[in-house]
Amino acid sequence: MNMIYSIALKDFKQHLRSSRFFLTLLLCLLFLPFTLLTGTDDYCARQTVCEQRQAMADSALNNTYVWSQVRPLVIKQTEPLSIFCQGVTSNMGTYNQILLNTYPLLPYAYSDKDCSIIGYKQTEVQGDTGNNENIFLNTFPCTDFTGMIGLVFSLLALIFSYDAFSHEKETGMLRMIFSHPVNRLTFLFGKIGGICLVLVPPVIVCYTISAAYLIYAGIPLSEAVWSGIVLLSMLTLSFIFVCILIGILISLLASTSEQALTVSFLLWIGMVFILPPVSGYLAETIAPIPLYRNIEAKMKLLDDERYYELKEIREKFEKEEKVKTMMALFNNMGEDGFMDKWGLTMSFARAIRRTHAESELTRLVYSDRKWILQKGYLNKLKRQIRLRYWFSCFSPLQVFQETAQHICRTSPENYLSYMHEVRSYRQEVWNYFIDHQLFNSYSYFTTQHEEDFMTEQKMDEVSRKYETLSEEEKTSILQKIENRPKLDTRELPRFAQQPASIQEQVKNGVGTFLFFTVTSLIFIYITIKMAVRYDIR
Amino acid sequence: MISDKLMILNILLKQEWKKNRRSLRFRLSWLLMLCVFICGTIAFVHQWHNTETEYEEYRKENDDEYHGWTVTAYAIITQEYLLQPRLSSLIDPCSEQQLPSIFTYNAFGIHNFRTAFSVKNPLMQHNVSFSWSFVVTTLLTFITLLFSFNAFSGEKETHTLGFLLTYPVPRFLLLLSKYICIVMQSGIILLSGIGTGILILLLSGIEMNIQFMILCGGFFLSSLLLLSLFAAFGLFASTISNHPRNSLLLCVIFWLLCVIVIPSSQLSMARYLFPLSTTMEEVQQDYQQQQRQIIDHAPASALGNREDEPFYPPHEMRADIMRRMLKVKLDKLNEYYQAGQQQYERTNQLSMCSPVIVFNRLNEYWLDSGYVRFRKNQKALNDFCTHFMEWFKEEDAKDPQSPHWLNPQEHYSSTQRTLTETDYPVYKEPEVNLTNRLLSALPAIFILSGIALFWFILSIFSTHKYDVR
Repeated sequence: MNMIYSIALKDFKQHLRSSRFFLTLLLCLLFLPFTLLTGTDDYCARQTVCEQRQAMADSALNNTYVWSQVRPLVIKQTEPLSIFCQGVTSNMGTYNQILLNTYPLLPYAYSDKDCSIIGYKQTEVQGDTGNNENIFLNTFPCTDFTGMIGLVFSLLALIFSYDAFSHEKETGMLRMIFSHPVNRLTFLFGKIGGICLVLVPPVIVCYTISAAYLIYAGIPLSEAVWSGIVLLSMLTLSFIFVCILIGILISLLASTSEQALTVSFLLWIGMVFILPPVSGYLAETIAPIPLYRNIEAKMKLLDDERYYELKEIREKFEKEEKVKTMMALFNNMGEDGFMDKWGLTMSFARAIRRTHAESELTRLVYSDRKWILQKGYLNKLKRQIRLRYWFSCFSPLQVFQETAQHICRTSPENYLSYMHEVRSYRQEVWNYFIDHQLFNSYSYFTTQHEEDFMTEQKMDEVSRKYETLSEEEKTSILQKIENRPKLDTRELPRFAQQPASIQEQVKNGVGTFLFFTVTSLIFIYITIKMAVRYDIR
Repeated sequence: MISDKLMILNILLKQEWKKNRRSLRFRLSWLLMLCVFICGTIAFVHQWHNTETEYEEYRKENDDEYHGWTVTAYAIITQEYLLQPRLSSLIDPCSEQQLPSIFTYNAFGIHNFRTAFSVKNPLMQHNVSFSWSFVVTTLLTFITLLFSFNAFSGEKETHTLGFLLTYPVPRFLLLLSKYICIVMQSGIILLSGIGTGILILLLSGIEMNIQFMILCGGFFLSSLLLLSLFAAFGLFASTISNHPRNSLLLCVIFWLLCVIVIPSSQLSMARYLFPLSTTMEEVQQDYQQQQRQIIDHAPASALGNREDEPFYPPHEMRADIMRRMLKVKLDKLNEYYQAGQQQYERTNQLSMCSPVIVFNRLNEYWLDSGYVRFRKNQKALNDFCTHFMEWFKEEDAKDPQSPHWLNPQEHYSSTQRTLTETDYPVYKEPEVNLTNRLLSALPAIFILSGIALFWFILSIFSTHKYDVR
C-alpha cells in the first residue's frame, strides 16, 4: 500500500509540473465558471419570465366575469439544478393552458392567445416550444456545466493517462522499473492513483465553487438541490475514473506514445461527438415520427366535425326554447367556448344554458378523440427517446449526461411526467365544473341573474331606446358593464407541481453508479491482465 | 530558380506524403470518418424519405383547403406557409430546426412565425446534428490539428529537424510542403466521405440535380478552406513549441475555443451585450392596452354588429377599429421581432472571431438556408402581403354588392364572391441563383482566407526564427 502511495505521489508531483496541469487549471478556471455563469443567467431569465407569467395567470383568473372565461394557465416552475444540466429545457417552454377543446401536449414558450375584445377571432391558441424569449437565440448551441465537465474531464483523463505506460516503454523506464522488485499491480494502481490525485481535487473544487456561487447569487437551495450537487459530483468522479481506466488500457496496449495518443483522441471524438448523434439518428431512423402539422390537420377535421355538432345542439335548443331574438346588449366571445353576454331575453338565456350543458361535454368528448391522435404522436416520441437511451449506453459520456439530466429533473422523462401532472390537473378542473354544474349554470356565460332577464317585448323597447341614446350615454352603459362584479374562483383547484425529492434523485443515480462500477471492474480486470502479460524483453 | 524551388518542394512533398500516408492516425482517421459519413448519410436517407412523405401529406391537406372559399375569407383568414424541407440539409441543416419555419399571414400582413415541431423530436436535444458540416467543423478540424500538431515539434524532439536544416532546404518550402501535405490528407478524407455520401444518395434513389452537385462541390472547397486554417494553426503551434505535448495542448485549447467555447457563449453574449428591452409578455400587454384604448375611444355604437345587414352603417367604424387594432398588434410584434433579429445578427457578427461560426455563415449563404433563408422569406412574404392586399382591394372593388369596408376579422364588410381556382395569389418561396449565393458568401470566404493566411505567416516567422543549435 505504501508503495502504491509513493508511486502515486511521485506521479502526482510530476503531473503538477507538466504543461498538462496548466491546461487543467486553465480549463477549470476559465471555461467551467463560464458555463456556471451562463447556466445561472439562463435560470434567472427563465425564473423572471415564470414569475411574470405566474402573475399574469393569477390576474387572469381573478379578473374573470363568467365561468366560460376560466381557462387556468399552468406555468412550469424552473428547476434550480437546471443551472448544472439543462437537458431538454432549451427545447421546452413553460406555459400551458387548460382548455376544453384540447389536451395540453408539451409546454409552450409563450401564448399568442388574443382575448378578442370585440367579435370572434379565428386564430387558434398557438404556441412555440423553445426556452428563449427571442426565438432566434434558440439556434445558438448551449453547453451546460455537466456537459462541459464531461467533455473537459474526459479529455483531461485521456491526456493524463495516454502515455502513463507507453512513454515509460519508449524511454525504457518501464523495463528498468520492472527489473526491480516492484509488483506490476502496485505500479499499475500507483499510476492510476497519481492521475486520480491530479483530477479529483479540481472536480471537487469545481462543484464546491459552483455551490458557493449559487449561495452568493441568491438561488434558493433546497435539500434536494444540495443532494443533487453531491450526487452530480459523485457521478462525475465515477465517470472520470472510467475514462482514466480507458486511457491506461490504451497506454498499455500501444507500443508508442503517438499510437496511444491517436487512439485515445479518436476514441474521445467517438465518445463525445460521434456516438451521441449516432444514437439519436439511429433512434430517428428506427422509430420515425410524423410531422406534427399533419396530426394537427387531422385534429382540425375533428374540430370541424365538432363545430357542426355544436351548431346542431345550439339550433335544437333555440328551437325548443322558441328563441325569437338572439340579441344581447353586450356580447363578448372568444376561443374555447368563451362567451360573456349581458342584457339577454329569458328564452335566449335558457337556450344558451341548455346548449352549454350539452355542448361543453361534447367539447370534452372531442378533446378525448383528439387526444387519441396526440397520444399516438407522444408515444412515438417516447419510443424514440427510449431507443436513443439504449443506444447511448455505448458511450460513458452519454450515460453520464442522461443521469445528470434525471438528477437535475431536466430529462425528457421529467417533462413527460410533468405533462402527465398537467393533464391530471385538467381533468380535475373539468370535474370541478361538472360537479358544481357550472356548464349548466347562467354564470357560465353571463353575470346577470335569472330574474334580471328580459322578455322579448322589453328587449325590443330597450334596444330601440338604446339607438336613440347619445354616445356619452351609450359609453356610460358600457362602463357599467365593465364594472360588473368579478367571479369568485378561490374554490377552483389550483395546480401544484410535484417537488423534487432526494429519494427520486438517488433512485435515478443508483443505476448509473452500478453501470460505472461494473464498467470500471471490467476495465480493471482487463488492465491487470494486460499489465501482468507485459513482456519486458 | 523557381523551377529549382518547385523541384525541392516536390521532393519534400513526396517525402512528407510517403511518411504520413502510412501513419496510424491517418489510416484510423480515414476509417473513422468514412464510417461517420456512411452512417450519417444512410440515416439521413431514411429520415429524408419520412420528411418527404410527411411534407407531401401536409401540402395535399393545404392545397385542397381553399376551394369554395370567398375572396374575403381567403384574404382575412390567417394562412400558414411551411418552409419546404431541402435536400441540402444533409450538407448543413443551418439550425433550421430551431428557426421559425411556419409563417402565418393574411392580406393584412405577416402575423407571426414559429418553429414547427417538424419530424424532429422536441424531447431530444438537437444541438448536434449529424450533417457533413458537423463532421467538418467538429471532427475533421480536430483531426487536422492531430495531423499537424507535431509536424515541427516532433522533429525537434527527435532532432531530425536539425539534420534536415543542415541541407540546403529553404525553411519556407519545408513549411509549405508540410502544410500542403496536411491539407491534402484532410482533403482526401473529406473528398472520400462526400463521394461515398453522394454514392449512397444515388443508390438509395434520391433525385439529385446539377445544382445539388455544385452545392456539394462548393461545400468541399469551403471545408478545405476551414481545414487549411486549422492546419495553419497546428503548424504555428508546432513551430513555436519545443515539445509535441506543448503544441498538442495549444491545439486542444484553440480547438476548444473555436468549436465549443465561442459558439456556446453566443447565448450569454446576446443576453449580456445586446439585451432585449422587452419580453414577449410585455409586448402582448402593451398592444392589448393600446387596443383597449382604441375600443375605449371608439363610439359605443361601433361595437354593435349585424351579420345579416352588411351595409349597417356602424360596420364601417367597426372595420376601421379592427384595422387599427390589427395594425397596432402587427406593428408592436414586428418591432419586437426586429429587435430580436438585431440581437441575433449582432451576436453573430461579434462571434465571427471563431472560424467555425464564419464557416457556418458561409454555408448559410451558399446553401441558401438557415437564418438567411428565413430573412429572405420574411422579406418576400412582406412584399407578397402588399400584393395580396392590392388584389383583395381590386376584387372587392369589382363587386357592387360589397360595402368595401375591408374588415380584417369579419367577412360581411367586403365582397362575398367565390374564389375561382386560378386567380388568387399564392406565396412561393423565391429561388436565389448560384452567382448571388457566391457573392453573398464572399465576405465569409475572405475572412477565413485572411485568418488562415495570418496563422501561416506567423508560422513562417517562427520557422525562420528557429535556432538549430
